[in-house]
Amino acid sequence: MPAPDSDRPHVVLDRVSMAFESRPVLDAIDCSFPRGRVSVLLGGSGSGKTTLLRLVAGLIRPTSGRIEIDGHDVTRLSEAEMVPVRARIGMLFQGGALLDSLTVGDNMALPLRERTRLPEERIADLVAGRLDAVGLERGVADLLPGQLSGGMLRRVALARAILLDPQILLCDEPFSGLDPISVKRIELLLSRLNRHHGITIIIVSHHIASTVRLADRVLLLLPGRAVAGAPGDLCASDDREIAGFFDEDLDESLEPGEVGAHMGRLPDGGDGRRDRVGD
Amino acid sequence: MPVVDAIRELGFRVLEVVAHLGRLLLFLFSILRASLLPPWRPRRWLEEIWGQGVLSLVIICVSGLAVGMVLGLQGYNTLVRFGAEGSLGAVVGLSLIRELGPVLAGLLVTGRAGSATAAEIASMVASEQIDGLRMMSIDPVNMVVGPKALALTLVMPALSTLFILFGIAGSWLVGVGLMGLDGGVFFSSLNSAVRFEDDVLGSLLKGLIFGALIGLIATFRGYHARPNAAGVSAATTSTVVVTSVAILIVDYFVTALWGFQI
Repeated sequence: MPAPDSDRPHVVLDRVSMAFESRPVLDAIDCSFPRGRVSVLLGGSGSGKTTLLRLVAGLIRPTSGRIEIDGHDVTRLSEAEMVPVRARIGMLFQGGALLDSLTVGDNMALPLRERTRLPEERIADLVAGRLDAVGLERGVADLLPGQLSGGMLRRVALARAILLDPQILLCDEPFSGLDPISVKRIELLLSRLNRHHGITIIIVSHHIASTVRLADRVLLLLPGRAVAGAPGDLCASDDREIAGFFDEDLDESLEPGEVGAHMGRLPDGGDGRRDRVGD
Repeated sequence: MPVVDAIRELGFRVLEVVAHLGRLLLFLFSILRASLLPPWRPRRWLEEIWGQGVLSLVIICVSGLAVGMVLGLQGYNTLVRFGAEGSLGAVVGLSLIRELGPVLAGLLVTGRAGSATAAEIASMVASEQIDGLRMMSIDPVNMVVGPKALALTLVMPALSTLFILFGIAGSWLVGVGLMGLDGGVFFSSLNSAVRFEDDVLGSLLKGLIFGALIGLIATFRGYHARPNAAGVSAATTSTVVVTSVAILIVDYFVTALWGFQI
């Protein structure tokens, strides 16, 4: 496979439509996700955000249209053909998707045991290293997923998602149901992964405040259309539907006094990227 | 036109059933392929065989004993009218070995292990654990579905045999212990009536086929459940209903075909 072109979008959706039975969810969506940037998918309930993320992961096939990853069409690949593609993708599921019957350590070791020939000592080291990277102690490895809090579960799932050093990280509602401290912690981890490792991150979120803090680019799925842009631009948009979406949700998700700090006054890091969480 | 609408609806339903059977067949092939091709998971298979067997053990033993006691009581009271109470062992033994053992054990395993299997896999679908495995390029059919289907197929003949043994023990308790029938007469009639290659092998074959049916339908329903609580519930219920009916229908054909062969 040729080396990826860094100027080229990492993921491209070309007129992608998706319908479940006869119910259309996405209609001829055109969008792209830049390499090494954080993109956030926003939209109301049922707007197709999670469906779009699952399409990129290859978990479902579009009704029509084309999906490219690294310039390669992955739309109609079989499960076996998706193996090398998925090796470059990590996914953080909303509920963690950890196997209930396995301990945290075994859950994390699972992809290493299945996909590599590493000795058990090396696997144990890697698991401990990733747990440490997400701020969890080594002892957590012996617990069952049911014994973890929501925030810990999400961090373990994140640790597993990044275990095989993915180039793309897909996150489905990483902040939902978490307390503010856990939200900040997950934000920080995602931000670090993006900045230090150059991972392309695509997040589905309802959490506008986190989106504004974290995203380089927002794709807003509105009824009948998709709008993409920098979060600041969308916040300041003249389009009432777009700006209204941010208004309503910002009121609910930002701490008091935080709204004014974000709406249209986002600091720019000089290279077109804003200062973000953890900077 | 109501008649045209009714015919159209009927055609639609028939096509739906055919498509469903096609999907079931494809799922069976995917289980066979995933079980035959590496990675093999002997440890997972043994764990599942152990788990599924243990899950149904108590109800199989208790139900077998109860059914045998009822058969013993009814059989004795009927046979005694014709002075043929000495044939109780043969009547009960043949009833249990040929029909009641495999069928009732199949229905009990469906209600216990089959529904549990469907619910477990459907829950894994709802909580995205199946998708999580796919994202790690681990085939869920190889890791989760195959071992469960295989375990149900293999434990059914054993559980059916256990049901029959406890049933015979129950009828012995009633016939010999309560009604005063001679124990030697009971086992002598049983021994002379039951033929290994005909009755016992047929019974084991039925157990194997019913086990495969339970394994296939339970895993199929669980794997294709809608990813929510209602989907888990629907998968569990439909597993019990569809498998129970399928066992009763397939039982007729197996009996007919096995009878012709002998």
